[in-house]
Parts: sequence; C-alpha cells; structure tokens
Amino acid sequence: MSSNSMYRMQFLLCAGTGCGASGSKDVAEALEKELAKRHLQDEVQLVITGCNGFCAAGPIMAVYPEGILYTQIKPEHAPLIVEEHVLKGRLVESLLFKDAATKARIPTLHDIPFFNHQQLVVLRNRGLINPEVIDEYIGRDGYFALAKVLTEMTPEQVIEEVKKSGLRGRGGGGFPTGMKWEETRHYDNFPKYTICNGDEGDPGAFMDRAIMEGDPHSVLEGMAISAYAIGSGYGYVYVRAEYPLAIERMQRAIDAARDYNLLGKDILGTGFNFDIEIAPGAGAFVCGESTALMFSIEGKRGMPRIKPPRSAEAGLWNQPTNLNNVETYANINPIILRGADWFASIGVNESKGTKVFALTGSITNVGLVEIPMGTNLSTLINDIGGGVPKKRKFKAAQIGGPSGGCIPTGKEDISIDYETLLEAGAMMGSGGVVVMDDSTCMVDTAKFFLHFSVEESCGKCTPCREGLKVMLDKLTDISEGRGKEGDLEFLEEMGEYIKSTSHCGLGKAAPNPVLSTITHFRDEYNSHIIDKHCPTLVCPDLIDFVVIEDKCKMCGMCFRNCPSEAITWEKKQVARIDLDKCTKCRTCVMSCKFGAIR
Amino acid sequence: MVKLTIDGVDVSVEKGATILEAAQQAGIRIPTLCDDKRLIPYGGCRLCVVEVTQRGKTKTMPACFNPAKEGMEVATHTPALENMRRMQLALLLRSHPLLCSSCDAAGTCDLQDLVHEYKVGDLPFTREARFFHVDNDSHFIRHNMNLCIRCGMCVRICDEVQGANEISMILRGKESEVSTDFGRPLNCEFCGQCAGICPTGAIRSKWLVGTGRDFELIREVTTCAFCSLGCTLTLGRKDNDVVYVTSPTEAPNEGNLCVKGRYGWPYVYSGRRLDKPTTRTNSTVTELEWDDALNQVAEGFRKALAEHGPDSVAVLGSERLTNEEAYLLNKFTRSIMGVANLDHAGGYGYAALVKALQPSLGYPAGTNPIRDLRSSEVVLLVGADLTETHPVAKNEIILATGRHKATAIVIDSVRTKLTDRKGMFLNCRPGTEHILLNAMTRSIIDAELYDKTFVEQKVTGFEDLKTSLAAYDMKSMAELTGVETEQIEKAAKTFAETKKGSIVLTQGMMNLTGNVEAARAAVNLALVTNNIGRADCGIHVFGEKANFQGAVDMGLTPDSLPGFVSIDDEAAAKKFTEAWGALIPNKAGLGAREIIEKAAEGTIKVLYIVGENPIETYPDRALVEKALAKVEFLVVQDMFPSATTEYAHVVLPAAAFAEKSGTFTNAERRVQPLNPILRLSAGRPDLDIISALAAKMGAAWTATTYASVMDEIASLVDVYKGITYDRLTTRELMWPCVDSADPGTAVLYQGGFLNGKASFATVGAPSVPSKNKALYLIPGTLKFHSGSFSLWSESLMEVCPDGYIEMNAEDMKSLDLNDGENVRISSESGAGATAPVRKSKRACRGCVIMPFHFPHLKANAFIKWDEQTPRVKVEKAS
Repeated sequence: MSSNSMYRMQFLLCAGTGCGASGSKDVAEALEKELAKRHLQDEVQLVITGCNGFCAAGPIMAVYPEGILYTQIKPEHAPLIVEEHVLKGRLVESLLFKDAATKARIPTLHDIPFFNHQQLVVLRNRGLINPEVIDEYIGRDGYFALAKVLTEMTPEQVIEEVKKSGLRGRGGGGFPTGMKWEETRHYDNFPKYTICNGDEGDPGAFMDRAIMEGDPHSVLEGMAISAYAIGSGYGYVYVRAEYPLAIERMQRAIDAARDYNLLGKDILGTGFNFDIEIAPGAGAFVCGESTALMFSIEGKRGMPRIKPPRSAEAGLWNQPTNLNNVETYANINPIILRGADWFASIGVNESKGTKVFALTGSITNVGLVEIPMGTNLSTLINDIGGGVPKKRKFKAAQIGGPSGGCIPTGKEDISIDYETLLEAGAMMGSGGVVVMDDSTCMVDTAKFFLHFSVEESCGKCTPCREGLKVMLDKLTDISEGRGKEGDLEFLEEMGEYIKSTSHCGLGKAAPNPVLSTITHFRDEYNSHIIDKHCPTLVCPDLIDFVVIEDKCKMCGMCFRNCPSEAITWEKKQVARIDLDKCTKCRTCVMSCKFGAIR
Repeated sequence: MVKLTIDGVDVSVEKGATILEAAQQAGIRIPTLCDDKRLIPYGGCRLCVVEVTQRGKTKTMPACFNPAKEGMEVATHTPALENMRRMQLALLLRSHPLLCSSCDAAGTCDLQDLVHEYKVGDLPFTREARFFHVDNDSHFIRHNMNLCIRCGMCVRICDEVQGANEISMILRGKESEVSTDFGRPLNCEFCGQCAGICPTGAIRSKWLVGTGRDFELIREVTTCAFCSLGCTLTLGRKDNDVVYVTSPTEAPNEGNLCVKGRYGWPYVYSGRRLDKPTTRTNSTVTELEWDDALNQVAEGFRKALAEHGPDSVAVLGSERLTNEEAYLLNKFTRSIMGVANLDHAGGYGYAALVKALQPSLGYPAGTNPIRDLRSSEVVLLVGADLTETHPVAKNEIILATGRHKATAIVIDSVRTKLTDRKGMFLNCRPGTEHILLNAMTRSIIDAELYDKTFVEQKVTGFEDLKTSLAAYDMKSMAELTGVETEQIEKAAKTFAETKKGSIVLTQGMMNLTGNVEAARAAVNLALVTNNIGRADCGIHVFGEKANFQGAVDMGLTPDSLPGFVSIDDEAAAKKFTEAWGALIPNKAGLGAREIIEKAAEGTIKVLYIVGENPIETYPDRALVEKALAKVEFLVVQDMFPSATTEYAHVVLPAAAFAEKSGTFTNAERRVQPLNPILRLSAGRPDLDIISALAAKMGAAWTATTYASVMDEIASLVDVYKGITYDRLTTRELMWPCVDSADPGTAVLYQGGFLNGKASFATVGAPSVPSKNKALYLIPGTLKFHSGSFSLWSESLMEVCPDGYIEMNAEDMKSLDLNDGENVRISSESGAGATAPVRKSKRACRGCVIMPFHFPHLKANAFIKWDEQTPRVKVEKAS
C-alpha cells in the first residue's frame, strides 16, 4: 500500500472465500469498468484482498483513506459508489453496515463491533494487501523478520525468542513451538525438513485457508525463519486439494519469493538456503495428524504411525522434521519484529498471543475473527458475532470441531484459552466455533460430528475404527426411537474407553462431542430415550406431527408448505395432519412460526 | 541395560526394547493381534495395553511399541486392562462373522482363542456384516476379507520383509480392507507369507480350506529340501497326507518361507515318482524286485572292477543327498569299491568353496550366519539374484536396506529386483564380475583405504596380490566390464569404509561363469577391508541345493575325504583306512568333467549316478549324452524319471525328503535334521540303498541307520565332533562343533584364522572378452523352480508351467520381436531352442535370459565347460 501513494483513494475489495462466493468478482469487474468509464483509474486503486473476516456482510469493500466499509455490494452498486463516494464525496448510506441491535448505520470499519474487539496479529494484513503481490506484503514489514533473523540473530537466539514469546501450536495440540524447534535443532542428522500443516479439515473451520489465501507470504516467512532456526534446507506446505485457491496463491507466493531471493539458494546473500514445495493432500482428515501427513507427502497411505521416534528425530523420509500449523507460522514475523515480550503481553496464563476463530452456525456475523487469548466466549459470540439471529436463543457453542466439545448456555463466560477449554470438555482445536441456537438438537449435533469422525477414521486402530461406529449406531438408535435405558452410560463408558485406547488425536478426541453433549444436555438425551420425543423437533422419528390446538394461530402456513398434502386446513380452523400421508419431512415444523406442531 | 518391573517381576532388557519384549523376556504373556517379531511394531489392535507407573503417574499405553524405560512399573493384567481387552475383542467381533463352526481357521485363529480366553460373551451393540465375495482367483491363496480384522500384518510383511509390496490397505475407517491394486489376482512371489501371518482365516493357503480341523492334524518339523538356506518346515499331516507347510517363528528362518518351501512340496505325491527298480535291455524296460535289482547292480560293479580295475568305475553324487547318505556314498565308493573317481554338482557347483575360500581362509564354507546380513551396513551381491535363487536370503537384504538403511551394491549382468533397493547397481558384462571385484580391491589399495594393521598382521601374500593386480588399471577395467570408473571407485570406497560389509555369492549348476575367480576376488576384497572374523560381515556362499555344504563336508569330491581332508594326507588316509576297514585309493580321482569325457572315450565303463541328472544339468549336453550312451553299465538312483534315467541300465527309485531321516548342512554351516513324516510311497531312502548295495558287495557295516552314521561321521570329522542327533532338534548347531558341550560356531575365524593367518590369492590377468557381437545367453533361475525336480510339483507348475526367454525392450525392438511371440535362439555350436519371448527389465542390453529348469529347452546344450558365457543368435521362430 505504501508504494501506491500516487492514488488518492483505494478500494480494498474482499475476494476471500465468503465474499468470492457472494459475487465479489463481478463487483470488481463492475467497479473497474465504472472507474475506467469515468477516467478515474489513475486516481482510485482497486485492490483485491484476501479474506477480511466479515463474511456475513459480504461482499465487502473498505475505502481508504477514510476507512469506510461498504457491505453487501452488488455489481449494480458500482456506479452509485463511484458517483457518490469518489466524485461527490458522499457516503452511500444504503451500503453501510447496519447494527442489528441499534439499527444505526456505522460507516467506519473500526467502529463496527465485529472489528473493534479484535486484535490482529496473525491477520495483520487482512483486507489491506493484495495477496498476489509480494511488494504489498513487504510494504507491511513483510520479510523484515527474516532479514533480521538472518543478519542479526543466531538460530539459538531465534529459538529462545520464540520460546520466550510463549507461542504454542495453533493446530490444536498446543505444544510450545519453541520447544519443538529446539528439539528438532538438537538432532544432528541432515537433511532436515520444515513442514507447514495446511490440511484444515474440521467442518466449519477456514482459518488456515483464509491465511493461505489472504496472506501467503506470512506463512512462507515463518517457515523460512523456522528452517533457519532448526537447520533445515527444504520445506513442504501440505495443503488439502479442496483448497485450490490456497494452493494457487501459495504457489504464486513461493515463485515471487524465489524471484526476490527470499527463498532458494543464498537467501539475501547470507548463505542460508531454503526452498519450499507444495504438497497437495488427497482429502483425508487424518492427514492433519503430523505423522500421517508425512506419510502422505512420501506418497504412502496416510496413517498415523507409532511414536517414538518423534518427528523431530525421524519424521519425513525418516529425517528430523519440524511441523507447525499455518497460523503458528503466521505468528512468527510479529514475534521477531515486535519482540517476545510484546507477544507474551497478549493473552493469559499459559496461552499467549491471539487466536483466529472461524465463527459459523447460528450467529449474525459469520466470519473470521482474531481475538486475544483469554477473551470471553460471550464477547466472541455476542459482541463480535452479533449474537444469535432471528430472536433465537443461544444454546451451545461447539469449539474445536469434531474433536472438541460444546460449551452450553450459562457457561458463556468462560475464558478462551487452552487450559480452560480443556477443563470444560472442549478444546481449542484449530479454531472452529459453531454456534447453535435453541432449535438445535444436541443428539443430532453429536451424531453429525461423530459421523464425520467415523467417515474419516483411517481404520488402523480398533477402538477408533469399530468403537466410533458402535457409538454412532447407538446414537442413531436413540434418535430413531430405539433408545433404551443404559444407553447413555454405555456411550459414556465406550467414549472414555475409546479416548484412552485410541492411537492418534482423531480417535482420542472423536468421542468428545458425544460426551460433552451428554454432560450438558442429559435431559435432552433422556427425552429422546425415555419420552421418545425430540424437544427441538429435529429428529423426524421422534416428532409426533400433531398440531397443538392452543398454539395454532390457524395461519395455514403448514398447509401451504406441506409437499405431500398431509395437512388439512381451512380458514379459521386448526390444521390437522394426516399421519398416513405424512412423510415426516419436517417442512410444517419449520414453517410454523408459533411452535404449534409437536 | 534398562531395569523395570513387570507384574512385580524385575526385568532388565537392552535399551530400546519395547515393554512387550521385556514382558516376553520375563515370561509374561501380553495378548496381541497385530504384533510379530519380524515386523515393525504397529499399534493397531490395542490389545497389548498395559498400565505403566512412572514418576508417580500411571498411564495406560500399548506395550508393543512403547520402549521399556528405567524404573517403570508395569501392570499387565489389572481388571481395568482386562476390561479394555474384552472391549477391544468385542469391537473386533462387530463386523467379524461369527461362523467359527464352519471356518477353516477355527482352532488356529488367534482372535477365536482370545475371545475364548477373555470370555467375551454378548456384544452390547449392533453387529454389522460385511459382504466380500470369497476370492479364489489367486494361485495358492484364498482371500475371505469378511474375516479380516485389519491388523495389517499381511501388508506389512509383504512390504517390510518380502519387499514385494503386492498388497496394501485400501479405503479407510471401517471400510478399509486389504487388496491388490484394483483387486486383481495376486501376481507376486507367492511366498504365502501373508497367509502364514494372518491371525484369522482372512488370507489362507487354499489347501488348508476344507482339509480338516487343526486338532486332526499332526505337525512335524523338518528341513526344507530345496535350496541351501535350509529353512525349517512344519508339515501338517492328516493321515499320511501332508496338508500344509508352514514354518515356526522360533526357527532360524523366523518363520519366513519362499514359494517353493511353502507350496512346492506336492512333488512328493507326484504320480510320476519312480516306484519300483527297473532294468533296461536295449529299449525294453522291466520292473525288478529290490533284491534282484541290487544283485544286478552289485554284479555289474564287481564285474567291471574285476575286468577293468577301479579306474573304469566312477560315481556321481548329489547335493540333494543328506550328510549321512553322502558320507556312506563316499565310504562305499572309496572303501568298498576302491574307486577314486567321485564327484558331484558337475564338479564346479561347489568350486568356490574348495578352490577359493578354503585355500585363503581355512574352511571351505561361508563365514557368517545368514541372519547377519540384515545387520550389515553394506552388502555386496556378486551375481546373486537372491529374489530368484534364495528368496528367504533376499528378505535379509530387504531388511538390511529397508529397516536398517544399509547399502546394497549389486554387481550383476542382470537387473535383479534388489537393484531397486537403496544402493548401487554395477551392471557389468556377463562373466566380468571377478574383474570388477579385483578392480575394486585395486582401487582400495591405491587409495590406501585398506586396513593396514589387519593385512599386515593377519594375512599373507599382500605384495603378491598387489603385483598381480598391476594389470588392473581402472580405465581399461572400466572398458572391460562396462562399468564406469567412478562407479567402481565409489563402490570400492563404500565397501572399504564399513566394518560391517558382507559379500554374497551364489553357486549352482549353470553358474560356472568365473565363479572361482569371483570367489577369490571376493575373499581378497573382504580381507583387505578387514570384513571377516566378526559378526555382521563376512562372505556368504549360497548353493543351489539343500546339502550344498554337507556334500563338500562329506568329501563327495575327487580329492578329499570327509572333513576336507586331502586325499594326499597320509595320516588322514590311514585314519580312514582303519575306520573303514579297507584300503582307500591314495590318489585323487577324476572330477565330473573328466568322468564324462572319459566315459565318452570309453575308458569309464561303469557309472553310478546318485541323485544327479547330468544330461539335463551338466554343460555340453551333447557330450554327456554321448558319454552315457557309451557307458557299459549305468546305474541311476533318483526320485523321478529324466533324460538320464532313460540311458540307465538299472534305475533305483529313491525316497523323498519327507520320507526319510538324515541331516542337511545349510549354507551357514547349520546342521539340521530331517524327519520321516510320511510313510514311503515309492522307492527307498538313499541310505538304505547304499548300505544294501554295500552289503551285497561284501561290506560288514554296523552303522547303517541315520543316527549311527552321524555318530561315525562325528568320530571321523573334526568339525562335526560334537554333533549327535539328540542335539540337533534345537537347530542351533553350526560347525565347527568340536565336543558335546560346544554350542557350535556362528562366525568363523573370530579367534583368528586356522593357520594363524589367512592368505591372499593372486589373481590372474584379466581376460579380454571376445569381439563377438552376438547376444549373451544367461541361463537364468526362476524363483518357482529348483533344478528340474520342481517340475514334478503340480503346484509350482501351476504358477510357472513353461520356460520363456527374457529380453530387453530395446534389443527386441532392434530385432523386430514382439512380446509373447516365439523366438528361436541358436548358437554356433549347433544348440537351439524355441520359446516365447518376454519383454523384461531383468535382461540388460545385449543379454538374453533363458531359464535352465525346463528340459525341453535344453539350456545346457548351449554351455561348454570352458565357454563361460555362450553367445547366441535370436530370431523369429519360423
């Protein structure tokens, strides 16, 4: 951005996954056309940025120098924006963010609650740079940390600095990064490898994707610094093949870095050699496990292997290997440039720095957020996320994807850090937060996550391969009305047993969603098992499909929406459901605004 | 050493040992379903969970891969652990059919046993059936993946031990299964290791299907009679029928077998076995009673001896005879008949031992145990295509180059499977292996990489060696061998820099290509680098047939008596004369080649051939045919009819290995017993025939049983002195074993060389190859065959029924040949063969490979005693 001061104004249009999906490419074309039509292309620069995080309001565009944020832009808005904002200097009111609570329009980005509670370390460049232009990254102090490390610091000092910062692995396990580097450095066996784990596979998580797509150089720089620290000369970025844009942008970034001699031989003339290659994954969740990931790079079947030896001793191709997550690497540049003490001043207790979360589910501001460790869960949900929409009530938040657990209503005051989450039966995981409202059935939710784990189990060890399916069968029985007393105890026993005897993180954590929902929502399970009724009307087999006469407002919505003509209704009459014709599709349940069907 | 307690028992184990190994050492059993000592721990079944208390914290962990650590307190059978195991077993039964009553594996199924032991009763969950069709499409092996518990042992043994990678896990989670690529039938070595290791009935040898319950079978242990590795076999017998073959994991071969060992035995039942003695006059063959036949033979021998003297009689023995039989044949020939003309294996199959190893080192035998190969750092394979010739020794190379990261240097004119492993491939011209080895030695001496102290103190003749190597300048050697100078030097350096360098040579019929020179060169190389006299290094010589070593030990050679005593040694001759109660010839007799030549000339009038098939295996087939036609009285003692038996005047049918006792001495000098497991179905054991014959000729031998013959051997042969039948069952005795307390000697020359010093052999000037531009013919070995007697095994013929010619794709292209079409190969000497040609990576440019096992191809017709590598013309068959 700094090198582009000849422009008087900049449009930073988000083209992340969310905004891209809602049409930002068309918006960009329309804006470009409009600017050209009015001969403004030399005055106003249009920058296509990576994910800005505020996906719920996308496509979004920030306009600088004022810092105005326009939301939900459509191509047809282009003339309006150029005419009003650029030429006449007036804000386009209709496109400004509208606060759901106060109904007020908030023009500037940093005043929007979604943004103003966040602290950007990892996402320091989000929405500000074009990820495909290396100069823009360098313009924001990019690669300065690498230069500093190579010219001013010894590998030991780098490791010391990272250790002092208290940075822990952001992939889920939370192992102290500096210690990992130190251990890998300790082995005197070359070549050594540096791997970046970008095999993000949790349902509802897209942090790593956003970083790789939005700021790829921050990952490469972190890897290069890590390689220098451990004595490695070659690195792999393992990206799942379902992220084509991430792969494309990472590749472009690697090429650009090579052109600038920030990768390759004799980097910056310091004699340090390091190069990176992209290894696309083949779509297995378990390949996020480090040893399985390494097998996958080697071209073997991705299955976790036994330890010892640890990867630091014998990892990829049996050589010492350091593996960190995308987000971990993205933290390195600020730690080196701003110092370990600054980094350690953010966060609480043993959890330092910030954490990026992907906020999804029943929440107003679906998006990507970065908050200091120790932030309150309710701040995350209510202030940043804008709370649960449609007058629904918050019921629980699933943190950590299929490996994590849920935090129920009443416990939202929990501090988000590694230890507290673990104590609460959830886990940091890689940072997916799925918010559920009171229309969510917890049995169904547990089933969903467990089904995911069953599908993704590699099949190596018995408890995970067979035990998870046993649990899933039991949950299916419960949700289909075949539950019986003792099932919960059985699930708890089996869950604990799978946790204690499984081989890798996938199996050890897979029962968590079931165990934590049983802990917090035992009554709900019991009504499935004993009353054969799903209180949230989600499990079709446990819905009576009977209209509650007191509640029915005789509006006829159910009648109009029923696809199988199973409902009889006439004006001013209570609807009736003919169970012979009913296919239990739940359309009536969902269309009834008054909760009159049970 | 690491000290820990397991269930209160103090155990100390080597550092790096797992908790499971420590427990096994302490005699505590921890159940497992995915562990085998041959495999890298896997951690899949989770049955081996134990509670480990360390620094005040108790954790549950699998015992199979977690290392034992100092001060650990391990509990293996707490109620909680037993519950966990019960749960694991219950989970394994979730999709495992409970049709044990109709399952062939019942009784040998580890899962079934454990389910029973842990009293797994009702399963508290819904079971799920999997629906795989039972796959009978592969040779020998049946797949019923419904029974698979996905322990992965088959996949791992195929990869880690066999190096074949034929099967792998496909799909994932509960859907995961074992499969070849796209589920095609197996197309591999058919070693059956996957079936052998499967803990359930999922992968099973076909002939174990429907043949009987485990408790109906009688298991007996014996020694494999195919190659010289001497793998231990367990034969499962039902009534008088062998039902299956397997190998115990505690045996020296650790339970590993090759296709021949595991599936090759049906030749024992072949309907073509020679049954009754026969006699032939002109072209009429008549059956004889044993007594009449023996009388006729004795009479024939007596007549020739009386009329023409002992020099007109010759005897050819075989490496397939047991030690006792070979010994008695020697005794019979030298003491009863007074004949000196005795040889075996064409006179060259064992030459490397007696002409190279014995003169330089002391004993005519390989120096180290086969299992040392896996812990070598560099293995030099000289013309050793172990995948085809000695598959179980190949496994050692796989382990060395895989798990132990060793380097394999392959010196060969064919591209063996082992060239795929970590290491180097020096692709030399056929017959130049020894030149290459000498060049390496020269390079090591020039670069002063040799072990000066060792050479100075332990070896004589270094200066002479240096002088004789003068002609081996690197540049012309590179030209001669076709291997680049840098490669030779790199290989030399690699070998010189290790103190764990092993050299492997293979010997056998059709392998006379400079084998003595190569062995001498190998010995020199091992000596300059000080790679002899310790564990994990040394020279391995693997022969073609089961008693390759024993035949030499028992003196089936023209110039030595049992125990490698030279016939010129008067004191020894006296000892044997006394022991055998008869004068023995005091001169060396004729070797195999001279015997054939003299027979062709008419000087040898009587020939007694025991277990050998000269017409189909000796070089210069035309000459052998002429010789045998000319012999006045030819007696052939064998199991099967052959071209040789057709010429015989009397044929004496012999028993098969499973029908007799005796011992074989394998290539690592391990003396191992055979057990008579089956009733005789045809013929008689060679030992009985020889002793009966001796009796007919007036011998008054007292020792005529296998055990008593061994006692006699022990009394006369120093290195066998401590060997008795009682001591053999453990299969631990490797000679020299000098008294009843001697545990045998695994590594030779550990305490120094026999005469204090070894000696270098001077090397001859490098021979310059002819300018002949025709293709080389390399007589190849196939892993499915052994000599020609595997042809009588229905099972092996099912996989590999006929011979074919292997050629390099480029050679085929230049000759305009298509894969599979019939080609005719012919030599200038008039030999010819027609067979289909196959495009093969194994054949390098300029070489044609033809297997020598198939009599109708007459591969030996191409080979001359002196011509090491025949040149042939290849053309489309008309």
